[in-house]
Amino acid sequence: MTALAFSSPITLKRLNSKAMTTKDPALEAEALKLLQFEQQAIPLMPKLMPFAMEKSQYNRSEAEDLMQESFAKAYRYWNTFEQGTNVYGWLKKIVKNTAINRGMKEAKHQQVSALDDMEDFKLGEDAHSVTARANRSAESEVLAKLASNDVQDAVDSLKPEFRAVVQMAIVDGYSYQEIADILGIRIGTVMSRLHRGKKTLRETLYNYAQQEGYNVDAAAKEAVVKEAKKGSKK
Amino acid sequence: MSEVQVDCEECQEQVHEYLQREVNEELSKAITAHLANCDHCDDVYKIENDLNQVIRTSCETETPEEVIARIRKHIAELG
Repeated sequence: MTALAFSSPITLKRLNSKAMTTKDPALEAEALKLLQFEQQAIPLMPKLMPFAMEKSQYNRSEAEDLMQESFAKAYRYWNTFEQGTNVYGWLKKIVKNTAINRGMKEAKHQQVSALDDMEDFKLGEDAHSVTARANRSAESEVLAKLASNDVQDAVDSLKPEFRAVVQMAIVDGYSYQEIADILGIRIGTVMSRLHRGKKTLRETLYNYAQQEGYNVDAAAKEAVVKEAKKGSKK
Repeated sequence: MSEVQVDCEECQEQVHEYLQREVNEELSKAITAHLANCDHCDDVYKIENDLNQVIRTSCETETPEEVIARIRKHIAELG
């Protein structure tokens, strides 16, 4: 629903039958996107396949999976591709980063379980800071009360450049390098947009919660405001 | 436990990178260790983590199946 690249999960059937005859801007945009993708990205598949093979240790089925994942990603974020620039270079970077991430998944799993082991140390700790705990649970409660629509609206209300990074990093789980390559920005910019995007989201969600008359706990308000102030000073 | 140590400020500066798993293993361990011993930083981390989860569940979208099918067909045709 809130996807960056398309406004609703429109099916191709609908696109093919209606897009050219209706004036629905969302349908027309989706049809144009698909047309561009078919004309510009798909024809480069034969040229990219050898690269995908190389990245998959010449395992054909692995290479095909890699291509599929990469092109699905490219389609999803086609709107962020700057028309007129090098499509092949853009797609090649996506294939390369997707290959890295696929390879890294296993390594990451191992790292995560090591972290989980360390998390166990926490179980034995003293719960000495009762107030801090109360603040956190109050804010988490506010988050939990908000409807999914509220969160979508809040994400949609972000400036497009922030929304893209929030969507890619948090929802899609892309690496900073992938996001930087897809959007053609530096990693430092990815980081600052993610930080600022999340800070704005917290403020927006908190305002929604208040508007909708949730009994927002004073402790939660304090926690949010304090964090927001801290962030804006930097 | 870990040779690298982080203080509260560093820990909170890196919290997004930690959540996105964009810190190296050494720093990651140092942050995990710090979180285990600092309630305040642990709260900051958990709030950001909760927020991520809320965003994730509310904004999950898929590439349309028809598009995936077309991509798959084109790949199969590469021969």
